[in-house]
Amino acid sequence: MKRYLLILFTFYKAAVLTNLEYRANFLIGAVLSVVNAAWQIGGIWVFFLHTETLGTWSFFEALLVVGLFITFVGVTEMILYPNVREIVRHIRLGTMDFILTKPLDSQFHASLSKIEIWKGMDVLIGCGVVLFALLKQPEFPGLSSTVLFILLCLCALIILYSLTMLLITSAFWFVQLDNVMELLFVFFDAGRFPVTIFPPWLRILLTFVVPIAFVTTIPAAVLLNRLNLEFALFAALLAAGLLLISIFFWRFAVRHYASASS
Amino acid sequence: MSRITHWLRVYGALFRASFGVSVTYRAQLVIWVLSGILPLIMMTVWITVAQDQPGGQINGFDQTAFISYYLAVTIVRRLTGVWIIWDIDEDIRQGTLSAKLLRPLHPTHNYLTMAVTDKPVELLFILPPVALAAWLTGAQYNFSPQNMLLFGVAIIGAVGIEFGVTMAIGALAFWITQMMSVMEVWFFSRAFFSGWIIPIAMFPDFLQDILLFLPYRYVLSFPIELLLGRLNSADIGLGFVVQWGWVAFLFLLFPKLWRRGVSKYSAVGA
Amino acid sequence: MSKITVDNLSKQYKVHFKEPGFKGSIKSFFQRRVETVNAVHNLSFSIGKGEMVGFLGPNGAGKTTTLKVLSGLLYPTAGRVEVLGFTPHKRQEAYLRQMTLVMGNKNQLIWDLPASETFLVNKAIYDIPNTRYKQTLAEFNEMLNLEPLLKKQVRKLSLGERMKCELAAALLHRPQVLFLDEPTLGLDVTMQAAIREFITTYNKQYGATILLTSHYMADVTALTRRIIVIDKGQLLYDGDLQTLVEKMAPFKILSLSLREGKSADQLGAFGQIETLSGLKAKIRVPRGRATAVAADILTAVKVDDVLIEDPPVEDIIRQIFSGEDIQNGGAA
Repeated sequence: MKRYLLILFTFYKAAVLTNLEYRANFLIGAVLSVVNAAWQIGGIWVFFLHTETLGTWSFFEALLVVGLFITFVGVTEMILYPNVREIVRHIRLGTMDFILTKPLDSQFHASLSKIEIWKGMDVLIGCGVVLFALLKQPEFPGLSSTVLFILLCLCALIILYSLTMLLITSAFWFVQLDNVMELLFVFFDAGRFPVTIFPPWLRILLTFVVPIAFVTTIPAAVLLNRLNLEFALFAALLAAGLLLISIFFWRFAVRHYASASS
Repeated sequence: MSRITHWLRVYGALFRASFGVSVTYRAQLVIWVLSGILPLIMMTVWITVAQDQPGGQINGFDQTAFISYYLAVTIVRRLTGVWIIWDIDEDIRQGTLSAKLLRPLHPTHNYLTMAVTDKPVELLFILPPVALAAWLTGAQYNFSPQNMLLFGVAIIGAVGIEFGVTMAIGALAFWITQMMSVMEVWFFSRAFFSGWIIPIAMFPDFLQDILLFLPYRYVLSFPIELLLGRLNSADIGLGFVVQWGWVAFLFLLFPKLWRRGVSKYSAVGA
Repeated sequence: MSKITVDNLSKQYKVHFKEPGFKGSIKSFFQRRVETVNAVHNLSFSIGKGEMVGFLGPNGAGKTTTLKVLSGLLYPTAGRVEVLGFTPHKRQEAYLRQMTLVMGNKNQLIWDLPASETFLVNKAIYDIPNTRYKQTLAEFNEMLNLEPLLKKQVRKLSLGERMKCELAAALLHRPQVLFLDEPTLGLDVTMQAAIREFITTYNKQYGATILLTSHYMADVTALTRRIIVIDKGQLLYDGDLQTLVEKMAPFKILSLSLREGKSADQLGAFGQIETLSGLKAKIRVPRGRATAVAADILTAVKVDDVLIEDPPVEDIIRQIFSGEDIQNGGAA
């Protein structure tokens, strides 16, 4: 454990140094983050030009969901996508061989070694939107809701990680998966709205099949005191289950890589 | 005449080559097709909102109109989207452009073929399910021959704008390393203002008026509006003037940028 | 006790085919033609501790596949492979800590940072203690003259400089077994020599077992005494390089610098003439009689110099791949 933390620290140090090599990205990244946030908020604001509530959610309640969406997309782009890009590159160029010949868990190495710190701007803006939306609520969430919220956010991270890994691992079969990002976005895109505004079939899909509801709607509902505990428990089980599946799938893919490639 | 056959042959060969590549990566195609889902999600939300309104309408859109609109979005977006910026970026930054410049054929033609070759295959995949959905839901379009002709011209104009913008922004890579970020700003703003996730008719009036003169409407919304038969002849006339005005502007602009960029590129010897 | 044992190794894999043209594209979109390729077929050899072995074969002979099986990247389809007592494809940490794989055409260094950052990452991954890390780095620095390179970003290094850093990064944990796939690919002659020298020194200093492939025969002749030749996945020759030369070429070449022009007839009496232009001549004579013929020439013809040489190894290897039988030693 301590060794893995040390290695993670070394990875991140190198990644941050790499980011600093491209300092201009900071400014551009900041501009992009603002454009992105405006896009997300604008997308929901247009609805409220024509209606008071979206599926029982008021504008500022829905804004809480949007804020969480911006935050988690930011986190994904900060710590997951750089690795996704790397994995695709490794498989295409054959440098995955170097990772597989290192005495280190290959999934850990391939999926956590890169970060893109400039994307932290999205996370900051997202958190700002969440805070702003909370201030507009009649009452601030209590301690128990806050603790539960943080736990649910952790589960959300694990769910995002596992879903991403499940997708990217398929790159071992389909080498040219440059656009895998698009596919990830398809899953995440629906997360910008509270799931309750969707028709029931879509709501079930987004909660249990592509469990994006657990990333935005459910943590938001906890802060708004709209949720019972069973859902939180389910979120934890789901996160653990998906993580295990993603690990098994990765191992399976590496074995396939070893037996099928030249 | 022989020049025409020459170009037909050139484009035939380019098309075959890039078609071979695109079909090889069939997994990628599936992803492209799947990525058209966001508009459909937006559709369900709009329908929910519309049902709660008096008269079941928002700005003249009822349930059928929303369905017709968003089903058309999935098709038209595939028809008009140009996704070659990554290739341009790689060519310029990795130096593969040098090889392409040596050929007696300007890379523009290469990029143009790359931009449009995927379209038939994508359409092959996406048209049947969308047509079926349109039939089942009773979506309404104006399929009169005259209107289809206008629709066709609008589609070509839309591809023209998309391609022109991509080439113009792509040329920035000759000068700045952050070209992709500029492109992302275009992607974001286009997603929002072109009618991809929100019909332009849903925006406040002042925004609609501004969008009448920006390129965004003309890469997606305009052809769809034609298809839906929502425009009178004055609207159509103005639309074509603005759309082809942008096409003309961009096709004057990007070759200039490329000429300058290439001469700088060769001078540095990248 | 051998460190690397390969026993009847076979490796097959499947490749997809696309027929050319538009129709082929459509067809392969719906149904791909798959063909099984025998990359390696019933290959056996073993390598002892500290041995340095050259692995030769034309492109697609199965060299890289064999190296990948040995380094645990590929499962053997059949046969048994053992390195340092481990089964490579299980990829146990204990094994991976003791081996390394260097591929001349692939790069593991972090592109945008100085190579020293990659060293630090590898230090963490391989758990190298501080003192040993410093000591190893100092040694490598001396052998490869890394000092000036370590401050520059990898992307700004020349190919040869990058390869030096690449080797250092791959050997930082002092592996006992090295698999080097074309380590000098694309490098100029002096850089090749520097890399070669480093590999030799490392081999001596740490007693490491090294299996190396290279397109450059100079690498092989300079580094290894023993070579393994494969083609189409099958073993053609395993043994001493010098023995192979003697077997394949039971003759030597006498290079003469003549003092006065001689006709082909006059020189033809001594042996078969390879080349004759102006005052330079090359004559092929049977191996056992080389010195005797040289003495004859010295007395009978006015020459400045006579050199007795082996035919170039390249020619011999080319002979093997063109299908000549090694066992019978088939030179013309």
